[in-house]
Amino acid sequence: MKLFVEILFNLGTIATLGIVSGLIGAIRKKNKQQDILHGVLFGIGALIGMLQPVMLHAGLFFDGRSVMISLAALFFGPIAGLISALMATSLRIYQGGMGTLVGSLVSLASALWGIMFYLWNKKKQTSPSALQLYFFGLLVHTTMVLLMFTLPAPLGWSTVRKIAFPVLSIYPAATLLIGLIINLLKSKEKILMELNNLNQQLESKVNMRTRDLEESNKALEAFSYSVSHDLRAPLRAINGFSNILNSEYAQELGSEGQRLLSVISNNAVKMDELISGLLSMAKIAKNELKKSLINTQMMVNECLKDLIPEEDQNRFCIELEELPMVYGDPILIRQVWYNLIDNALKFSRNRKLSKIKISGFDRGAFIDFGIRDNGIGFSQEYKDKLFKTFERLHSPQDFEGTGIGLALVGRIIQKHGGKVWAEGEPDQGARFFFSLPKF
Amino acid sequence: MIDRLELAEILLVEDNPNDVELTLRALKKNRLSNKILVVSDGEEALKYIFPTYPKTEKHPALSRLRLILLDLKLPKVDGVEVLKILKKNPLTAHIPIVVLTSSREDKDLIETYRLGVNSYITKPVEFANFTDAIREIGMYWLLLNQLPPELT
Repeated sequence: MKLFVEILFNLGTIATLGIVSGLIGAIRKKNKQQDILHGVLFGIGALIGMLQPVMLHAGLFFDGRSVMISLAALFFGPIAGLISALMATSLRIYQGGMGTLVGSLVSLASALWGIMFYLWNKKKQTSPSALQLYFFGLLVHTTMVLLMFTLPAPLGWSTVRKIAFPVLSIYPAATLLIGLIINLLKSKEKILMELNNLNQQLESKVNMRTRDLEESNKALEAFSYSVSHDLRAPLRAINGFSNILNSEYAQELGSEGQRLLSVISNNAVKMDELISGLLSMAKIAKNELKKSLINTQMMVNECLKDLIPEEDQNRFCIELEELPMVYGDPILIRQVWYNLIDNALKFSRNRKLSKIKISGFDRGAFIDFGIRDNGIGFSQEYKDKLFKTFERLHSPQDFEGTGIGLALVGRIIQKHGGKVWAEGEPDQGARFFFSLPKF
Repeated sequence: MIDRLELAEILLVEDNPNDVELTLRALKKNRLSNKILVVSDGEEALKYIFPTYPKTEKHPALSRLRLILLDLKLPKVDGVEVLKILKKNPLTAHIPIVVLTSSREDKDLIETYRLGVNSYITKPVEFANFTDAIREIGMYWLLLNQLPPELT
């Protein structure tokens, strides 16, 4: 019974060391240097175990080195197994005594069994199962017990009789236990490695996509640069030369000729406006928002001042409610107000008195703004067309414009994560609303 | 327009012949076209200013030049490059350079001002506005603006 307890105590130390060395080993990736490191770690485990052996006779003692060596070989391969066996054997030879030969043989046999099982598992590409671990422990330690017969005749038999039962009942179980823990650590390592791999794959994918995006962004930029440069020069020529023709050959052209020429030159200007509009649309899509807190009241007042000439003040009745501050890109939001107010003024200018009402409501997460006019309004069935690029509800003879103003408004608000909508009825005025997230 | 052997007061660097014609008409209308030389790319411009280009030696053309009107998109050497070379060289750094280009690109604005451009004008499509712009540029840089005494 005493022997039992001593063996258990000894194994406790070894198990702890085994787990620690397994833990250190499992964290690292597998290569030759790591094999050597594992061998040394398990070897040290075996050595420390050997420093507190279970003494049977002077020079004949037992410790858990067989467990450490066999597991080192089983889990980390021939190099690790042989190194730990070599370390243990060196110490054993140094310690000397009658058990020297058998002790060395046990170390070597443990390593050999471990290597065989390691190769077997490698071929099958599995990690040791619990059953295998127990069977493995049993095999290693049966060998160990059988090796006792290499001791001088009477001692061999008596030793076997003494240790066979405790060794065969405890050591295989210890092998199983430590093996399972190393298994666990290794599977964790494997998962971590897979995770790491996946992360790297993901990262390289993201990098690739980013590169693609950057390239297409650059291509787009080059495109819009070339549009703004190269498409304008011909327009300038068309407009310029028709103007020159009109002024220098007025006599020859006659009034109809002059009118036709001004149609040409006006269209060149119109085309220029369309290009500018498209470019600003592209710019909104491309550029990042530079947000700050906006004093809406001030901004709206500035727009009104810009849009209503001093002398026309009395043609307009502007009702301005208190407008909440809002968070957004000031340049773009100003463009929104400018375009909406411009629209309201334009489509109500045929009234004797243009009535425009601007309001704002705090709705918690969002702030809504509204602008209503008493102008010509629109039919509700066209409300989806309002914010589309180049869509116009009125003929250019009645109301000038490129059809880009509201599209820009839509794009800007959308970019801010807000919403824009409109209500109206023919001849009953229009109401435009937009809402912006508070932050 | 003047012969190459004479020395110009205004150097117009512009590759589009239509723009050249419109610009010259606008200048002529305002009697500013007497001493103007037109070159159609950046390299030609540099070769006029420095006849031994790429060596940059002092040349009589330098002392007469009062204004360079520079397009940005040019064959061979582009406008930004010309601007960079002229503004970096102490012999030419004082010559007023006005960029006259088709579009208002943030990138170009930032870059040309960083390099020390004196003015950046986008050519209006509408002829009346274009003429006005050219007239004002000429008036300002040739009549109102004072240049430093000839650098020796």
